[in-house]
Formats: sequence, structure tokens, C-alpha cells
Amino acid sequence: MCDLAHFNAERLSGNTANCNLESDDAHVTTKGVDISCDDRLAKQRRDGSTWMGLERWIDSEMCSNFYYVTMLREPLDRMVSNVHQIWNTYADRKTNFSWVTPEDIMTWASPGKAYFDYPTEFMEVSTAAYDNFYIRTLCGAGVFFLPAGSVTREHLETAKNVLRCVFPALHVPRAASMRRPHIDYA
Amino acid sequence: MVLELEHFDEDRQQLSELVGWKKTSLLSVGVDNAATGKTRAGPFDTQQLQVLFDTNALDYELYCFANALRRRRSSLLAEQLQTRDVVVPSTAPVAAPVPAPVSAPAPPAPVPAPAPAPAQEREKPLPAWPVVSSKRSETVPATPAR
Repeated sequence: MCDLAHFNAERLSGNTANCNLESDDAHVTTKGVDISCDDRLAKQRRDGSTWMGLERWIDSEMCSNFYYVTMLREPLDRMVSNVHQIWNTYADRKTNFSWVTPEDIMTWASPGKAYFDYPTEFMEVSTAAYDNFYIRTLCGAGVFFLPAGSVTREHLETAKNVLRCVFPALHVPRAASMRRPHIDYA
Repeated sequence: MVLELEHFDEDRQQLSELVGWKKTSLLSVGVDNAATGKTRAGPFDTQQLQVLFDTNALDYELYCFANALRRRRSSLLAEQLQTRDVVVPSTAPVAAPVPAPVSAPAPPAPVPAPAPAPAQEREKPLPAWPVVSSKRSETVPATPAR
């Protein structure tokens, strides 16, 4: 999505190689990081961006000044892809995760386990990555870091409401949609 | 806007119509995050996949819900494009009836937009943001972090 935004001449947010602010990065190290709408709008006005990526859990405020886009993937496919991501993408880094085995992952996802040992990898090397990742992400930081087995039907309904409320992109007037900046929950 | 990777070819229409993008092919932008070919086999065996499937049953429900939402919106968008009628602003849900939210917080204070849209293009306020407790089966009032 970031590449598509770039190729469509969106003005991208942040100074990272991706489209996101540092505080919205997948490797953000603060468990409870949460950007208010006022702060987000101020950042957007400061850098003049029309497209922001958000690579972590959703904020606790929805911003009426933004339109939201999200892309989902079949859950098991996403998990398999995530394993290959952590095996390969970071292989050349000082801290890489080529040591992770499927058995490790099954342990992280076992009931009661809360594996969040790598502050830079909450999104990829954690319990959350393999236990109802979408619901955790859409319910925000308060749910994202729960132990495995703790996501409930109540959380599911909240996540559904988020999809209904935050992504109601059906009747958006075309001209208006193009005037507002976008947040991409990728 | 809800998109799905497996059906991105269908969803491109939404990006084009609602966001105004001209280039919507993933092939046109390269493969930055694609697998490199250095992958190990697997990674999960059948039994592990079954456990993960069961563990993520609620996520699968959400995924099915999102897909239904996406299909419904795509279909209505296609109808709109066919008729080329004037689009009526609305935030009414288009999928299943909305159940009572976990809590009903007041919406965040509206921040004035830098350039107000013409009257015919203004939208109704977005619905209240659902907030949940991190504890099981307990609701909490919304207290937006500031």
C-alpha cells in the first residue's frame, strides 16, 4: 500500500523508508503508544502528508479528519508469511530471528502465554502475531498485549464495530475523499 | 475502506473510485516484501496449523465478517458506478445490523478541517469509537489518551 501511495503521488508521512511516523512503526518499542487525533492532525499539517501508514495496533481515538483504509489477509496465510518475514527479512541484522522454530511459535500461542520479549518486534515476534492478531490490532493496545487465549467474543464485536465505524467507505463523495488525508492500517 | 489481499484485483476499483488512485496494480510497484526464495519449508505441520486455526477462530470470524462487508460495499459501489447517480453522503452501516457497542463513549472532540467541504459534500460525524477493557468481560468508559 505504501508503494501504491507513492506511485499515486500521495505525500507520504514520516521520515522512515515506509509511509509511517516513527510512533506508528511496526517496530515501535512502547507498548502503550497511542496518538491522539489532535497530535496526528498536527503532524499531518506539519509535514503536509496525504497518506500515513500505521503498522501497529490502532489508536484509541478515531479521527474524523481522516479516512481509513485497511487490508486483511487470510489469517493462516498471514501467519505463515510472518514466519518467513522474521526468518528472512532480518537475517542480516545483529538481532535476527532465524532461530525461531514453529515449536517456539506454538508455545507463544499457548493459553496463558504472553510472549512480548522483544520490544522492537511486538508485531511479529510475539503472542499477538499468532493469537487473533486482527482483533488485537483493531481493539488497540489494551487488548493487543493480552496473554494467549484471552481474546473474547466481546473483543470480536468491538473489532467488527471498528471495521463498521472506521472504514465506512461506501458513500464517500469522491471529491471530499481526495481532500482528506488517509491512514492506512496495513 | 476494507480491502483483502486475496481479492485485491476486485478491490482496486474501490481504491480508484474512492481515493482517486490511477495506478492500483501491485505488480506495477515491485515486490518489496515478497519472499526471497531463501525460505525454509513449512513452516507449520498439519497438526500445528489445526491448532493455530482453532486458536484463531475469532479472527476467522472477523475475517469472514470483513469479507462480507467488503463484498457488499464493492457491489454497491459497482451499482453506483453503473447508474452514475449523485452519491449521497451517509455513514449508515451497510452490513449486518450494528449490535450494541461494548461501551458508548462520546466521540472525540471534532477538529476543524483546514478547508471545509461544500455543503453538499459534508459528511455526518463518524460513529462513536468502541472502546474495550483489557480485562475479560469488563467494559470501561472511554477515556481517550491524551
